[in-house]
Amino acid sequence: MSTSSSSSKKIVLKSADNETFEIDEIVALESQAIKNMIEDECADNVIPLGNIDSKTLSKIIEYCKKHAESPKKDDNADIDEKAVEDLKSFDAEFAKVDMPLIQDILMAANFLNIDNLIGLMCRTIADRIKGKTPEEIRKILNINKNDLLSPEQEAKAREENSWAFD
Amino acid sequence: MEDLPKDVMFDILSRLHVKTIASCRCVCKEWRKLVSHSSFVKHHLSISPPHACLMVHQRSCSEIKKSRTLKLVEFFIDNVIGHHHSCINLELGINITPARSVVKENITVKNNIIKRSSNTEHITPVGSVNGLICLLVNDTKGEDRKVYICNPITNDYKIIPTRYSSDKIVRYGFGVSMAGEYKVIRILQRKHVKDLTEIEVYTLGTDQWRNLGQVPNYVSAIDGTRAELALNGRVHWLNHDIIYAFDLDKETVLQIPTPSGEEWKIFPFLGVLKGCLSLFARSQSNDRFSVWAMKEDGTEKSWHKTWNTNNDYGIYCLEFNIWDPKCLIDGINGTSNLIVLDSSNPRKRKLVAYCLETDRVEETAISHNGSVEIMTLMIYGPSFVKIPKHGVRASSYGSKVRKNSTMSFY
Repeated sequence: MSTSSSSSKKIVLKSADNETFEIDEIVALESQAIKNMIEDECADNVIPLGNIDSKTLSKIIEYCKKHAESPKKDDNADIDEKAVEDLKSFDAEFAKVDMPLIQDILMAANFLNIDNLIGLMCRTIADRIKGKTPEEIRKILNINKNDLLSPEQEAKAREENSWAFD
Repeated sequence: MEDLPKDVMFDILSRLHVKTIASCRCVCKEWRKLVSHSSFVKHHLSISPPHACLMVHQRSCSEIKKSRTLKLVEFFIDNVIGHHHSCINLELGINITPARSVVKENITVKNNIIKRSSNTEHITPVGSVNGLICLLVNDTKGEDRKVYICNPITNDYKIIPTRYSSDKIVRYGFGVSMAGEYKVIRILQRKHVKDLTEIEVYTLGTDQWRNLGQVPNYVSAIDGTRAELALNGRVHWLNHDIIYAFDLDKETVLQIPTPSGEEWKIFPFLGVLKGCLSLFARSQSNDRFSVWAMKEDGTEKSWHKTWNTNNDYGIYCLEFNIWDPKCLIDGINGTSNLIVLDSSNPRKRKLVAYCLETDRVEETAISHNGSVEIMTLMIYGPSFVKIPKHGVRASSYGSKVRKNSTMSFY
């Protein structure tokens, strides 16, 4: 998808809190949703993203920049291993943020349709709740108190899944 | 979290181990719904390795309690820290209340807890596919038989009615068709008609046995190693050096080509390695063994000998009373393994895993119970698949076909 034709065309993204970010089109193309908008020529100079705040958006742009710069796997079969490692350690560092931000990034990545980033965030959440008890999972993910099972339901659920709690 | 779309939640959940997913079912209402959602079940099934666990059942007449326990061992050899073999041991007790009180009948699956109230029933595993396990339950006289389908992960079960028949039932089988229908088959010999062998099929969700009529007599012939195996919409078994299969879509019996020559005919058994129908056999001299794999589904030429051990390491002795190979299983990291009952120390018999690639032997967490008469090993992959109930279309369950295998040793 990213031929390295050094298009210097710029795209401006506007966050929910009205902050604007000017980025290279090639970076914006990491988002399948923006790519579609550009291809359908329904993108104005400024793309408003009313449901993404500036903190989240700047993280997403950081991610897209790095990934747009890196050589894509499908470009070249014998890809530089160092580049792959480099991208891996970038991803690992990138994911070292608190859970609310991870969830915001995931929501935004899902809205913008950035496949790799969705995968990275899902993997991060999965890693954090891996092997945890229901209580721990609720705490880590700050699960809505209104959605909890009733004591009876919980007892039943635990009974059914008792093999998992040893 | 609540705002995340379903497919994103599925993505997160399906990256987790079944144990954590089971924990997630207790987190909140929304998650409980998610895990039971048919698209999650399908998604989870399609991405998880079909042969992740080894299911071991040890039957002993003197210790009926223990005979009701299915042990599930997660088979995992970690390449990163040098072939360390770690096992996650799920011990599942099957609780079956007396046959008379049908209403109260239930199977519960608990870790290390076995509640039971009938001393006269015992279980025989028939097969396992897509995380569903088929068990035969009968009383010690072998008369009052019932077929249970259960999913130990979701604690779901179903009893398949089997009317009493004076005909001799020779064999049960369980598998899933390519179209996604779960079927139990049984082969029976009519008692009063000489040499009449028939086959009957029960499709889960239809609630009836269908008699398909006569099949060739050789289908019922049994030799010493009664092993059967479900793979790619077929139930396979090996009888007297011939491989038969029951095609669960076409509902016909067919003969599968075997490797050429005689070499494979010494105490062979079937298995699945890397999604291929495979065959284990000993050498004439009994000090080495070979493994064949059927690369494409077709002719005898598609059989390739994939392993031919030379035993240079002298680590095994294929005497039956010392090293008794039981089944083939894929390791999670892409290795091929042979599970062997190792009796080199008669007082401490145990199952070991022999890695075909590395010639290394690793202990599993399963020791052989001294009083055991029958040990059944089965390849099992945990899933959240629901058992099709009467009147519900099969397609609404997680019945996507994945390569799976079943093996039973009697």
